[in-house]
Amino acid sequence: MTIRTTLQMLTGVLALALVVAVGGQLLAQANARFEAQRLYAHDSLRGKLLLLGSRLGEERGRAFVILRSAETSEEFVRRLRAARAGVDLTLEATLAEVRRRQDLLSRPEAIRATLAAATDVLNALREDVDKAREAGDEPRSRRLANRWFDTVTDLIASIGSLRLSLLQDAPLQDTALATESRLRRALGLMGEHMGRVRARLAAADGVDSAAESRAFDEVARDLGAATLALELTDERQILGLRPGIADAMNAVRKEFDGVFRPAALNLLSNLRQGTRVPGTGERWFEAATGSIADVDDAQRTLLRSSEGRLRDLEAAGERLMAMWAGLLAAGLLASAGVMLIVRRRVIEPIEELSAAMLRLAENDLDVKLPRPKRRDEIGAMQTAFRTFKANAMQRQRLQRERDALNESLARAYAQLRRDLEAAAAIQEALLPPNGRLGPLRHVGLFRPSSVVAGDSYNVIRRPNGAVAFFQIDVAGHGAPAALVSVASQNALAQAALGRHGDASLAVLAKGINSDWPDELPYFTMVFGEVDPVNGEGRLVQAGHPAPLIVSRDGSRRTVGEGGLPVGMISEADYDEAAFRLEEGERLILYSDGLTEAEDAQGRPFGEQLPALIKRHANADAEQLLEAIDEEVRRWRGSDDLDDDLTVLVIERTTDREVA
Amino acid sequence: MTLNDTAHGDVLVVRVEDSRIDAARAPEFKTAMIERIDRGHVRLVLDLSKVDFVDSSGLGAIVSCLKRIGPRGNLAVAGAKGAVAKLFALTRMDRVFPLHASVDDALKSVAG
Repeated sequence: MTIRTTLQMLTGVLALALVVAVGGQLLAQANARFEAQRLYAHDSLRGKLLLLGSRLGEERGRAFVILRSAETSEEFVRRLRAARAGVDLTLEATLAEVRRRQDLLSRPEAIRATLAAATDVLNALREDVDKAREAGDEPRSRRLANRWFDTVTDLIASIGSLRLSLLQDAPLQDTALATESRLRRALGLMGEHMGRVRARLAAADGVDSAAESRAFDEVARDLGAATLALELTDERQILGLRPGIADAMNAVRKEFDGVFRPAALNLLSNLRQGTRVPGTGERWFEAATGSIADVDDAQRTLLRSSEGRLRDLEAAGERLMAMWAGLLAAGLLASAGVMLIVRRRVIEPIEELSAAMLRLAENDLDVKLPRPKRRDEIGAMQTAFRTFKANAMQRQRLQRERDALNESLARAYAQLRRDLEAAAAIQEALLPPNGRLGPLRHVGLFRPSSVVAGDSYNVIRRPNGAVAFFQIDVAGHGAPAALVSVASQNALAQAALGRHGDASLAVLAKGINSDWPDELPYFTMVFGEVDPVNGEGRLVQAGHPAPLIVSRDGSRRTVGEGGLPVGMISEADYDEAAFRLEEGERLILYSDGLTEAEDAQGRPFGEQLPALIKRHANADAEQLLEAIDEEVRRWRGSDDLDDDLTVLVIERTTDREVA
Repeated sequence: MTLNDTAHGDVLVVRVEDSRIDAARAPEFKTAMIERIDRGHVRLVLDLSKVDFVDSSGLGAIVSCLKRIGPRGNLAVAGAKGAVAKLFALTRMDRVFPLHASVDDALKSVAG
C-alpha cells in the first residue's frame, strides 16, 4: 500500500467517523426538536380544549338558568349570546389549531371527528332551546333544561377525555411541565364543578321541591369536588414554578375559600330553608362567573408558562442542532484541510523523491532532484539526495578517469610487452643455433626468468680454425640486464674474432674489464677457446661457475680457479686455465641460475646436478639438456624461474671427419 | 633489512641479521651501508655469519661499499660460510677484500 493510499484512507476514515458521530448527534437533536414541537402542539391544543370546556360551562349555565326561569333580564339573555359566540369562536380556533398542527398531532382526524360530533350535538340542542323559549311552554322548557344540562355536561366530559388522550399521546417528561399539566387538569376539574354549582344554585326556584332537593345534593357534591380539586393544587407543587403561577393560584384559592365557597354555602343554606329573594339567581351567577374567571386566569397563566417552557426546549434543540451542524462543517473543513496539507507537504514531495530515488538507483544521473526549500525531515531527505547524487556523479567521473587510466596503462603495458617480446626474439636470434663446427658439436639451453635475459652465450669459429666460446651472466635480470648482455656479447665476440694469433685470453679479459663502463652492471663469464683437432683449450673464468668436463663414463672435472666478475674492479687481473677435451668428452658451461634454482623449501638445485649429469653421460647432449630442463621444472614445482638459466654443452665427437 | 652495529674503537662491526642478500634486498642493504660510510665509518667489518645466500646483486652491493670507502679506510668480511663462501671463492673476492672466519680476526686486520 502506498503512503498516499494509507494517509488518504486514514484521513478519509477520520472524516467519516466525524460525519457519523456528529451526524448522529445532529439526528438526535433533530428528533428532540421535533419532539419539542410535537409536545408544544399537543399542549397548546389541550389549552384550547380547556378554554372550550370553560366556555361551554358558561353557556350551559346561562342557557340552563334561562330555560328554568320564567323571567330573566335582557342583560342575561344578551350574555348567553355572547357565551355562545365565545364557544363558537373557541371551537373555530381549536379546529384551526388542529389543522395547523395536524402534522405534529398523533391523531388529528379523531380529534376533528370528536369536535364535529360535539358541534352537531350542541347545535341541535341550541335549536331546541331557542324553540322552547319562543314557544313559552314552561314545563317543556324545564324538561329541556335538565336534558340540556346533562348533555352539555357530557360534551364537556368528552372534551376532558380528549385532553387526557392528547396528554397520553405526548407525555411530558419534564418535571415542571408535568406539574403545570397536573395543575391545569385540577383547575379544569375545579372550574367545571364550580360551573355546575353556579348553574344549579342560580336556577333554583322552588317549583319542584323534590327535584330541587336532589339538585342541592348535587351542588354539595360539586362543591366538595371543587374543594378536593383545589386541594390537589397543593402549595408544595407550586414551589419551583414561576412566581406568576403562585400568585394566580393564590388568587384562585383566596377567591374560592373567601368568596365562592362561603357564598355558595350561604345561598345553599338559604335555599334549603326556602328563603328566596327575587333576582338573587342572576346576581349569584355573575358573581360565580367572576370567581371562575379567576380560575380561567390561572389556567391561562399556566398555559403561557408551559408554552414558554416548550418554546425554550425547542429553541435549545435548535441551538444544539446549529452547534452540531457547525461542528460537522468545521470538522469536514478541517479534514479537507488536513488532506490538502498532507498531500502538499508529505505525499507529493515523497512521491517526487521516491521517483527520483528509483531513477538514481538505476544510475540515471540526469534525474532532476527537487530543490530543498524546507527545514523539516523531507527537506533533510532532499538535501541528502542531492549530496548522494553529487557523490554518485563524482564517483562516476572518477571511475571514468580510472577506466581511462587503466586503459592507457594496459595499452602501454601491451606495447612494452610487444617491445620486450620483440627484444626477446632478437636476443634469441643472437644465440648460435645448435650445430657442429668440425668434430665439435654445441648444444644450448636458454631459459630467461622474464621475457628477456641477462644470460647469453656464443660459439664462434675463428679464422685460424680454433673455436671460441663464451657464456655471460649479467648481474640482475630483465631488460637492463638483457641490454648489457647484448653489449657484453658483442664485446666478447669482437674480442674473440679480432684477437691476434695466440694472444693471452687473460690479457683480453683484463682489457674488456678495464674498458667496462662503471655505470653498467658487472657480469660473470667463462670465455675460452678450443682446438677442434686435438681438443687443447684454454679459458678465463670470471666470477662464473667453473665449467665441467664430463667423460662418457660419467667421471668429471672442473676447469678454472675462479676469478673476479667483469666490470666490478677495473684493475682486476685474470688467470687463464688450460684444459684438454678428449674425444667423446663434453665441456659443460652453466650460469648460476641452474645451480641456485630453489625448490619450495629453498634448497638449491646444484646438489642434484652431478648425479643428473652422470646419469646422462652416454645420452645425446640434447637429451641431457632436456633432462636438465625437465628436472629443474620439477624441482621448482613450476615453469617460473627466479634467475635466468643457461647451459652450453660443447662435445668433441669421435667422428674423425673434419668439416 | 636489519643491520646490527657494534663499535670497536674506530671500527664499526655491522652484522647482517637477514639470511639473504639478494636482488630484492641488495639496494636497501647498499643504501644503509653507504649511509654509515658517509657518516665517517670507513673502517668496517661486515659480519655475514647469519647470511646463507648472496647473489650477484648482493655481491655488487658489497663491492660498491668497498669502492665508496676507497683509500680512506678498509672493509673486511667475517663469518662467510656455505654458499656465501663458495660465491666469494668463485669470484675471487679474497683479492678484493680480506675474508676472515671470525669478527675478532677481521678486527685485527682492519685495525692494523
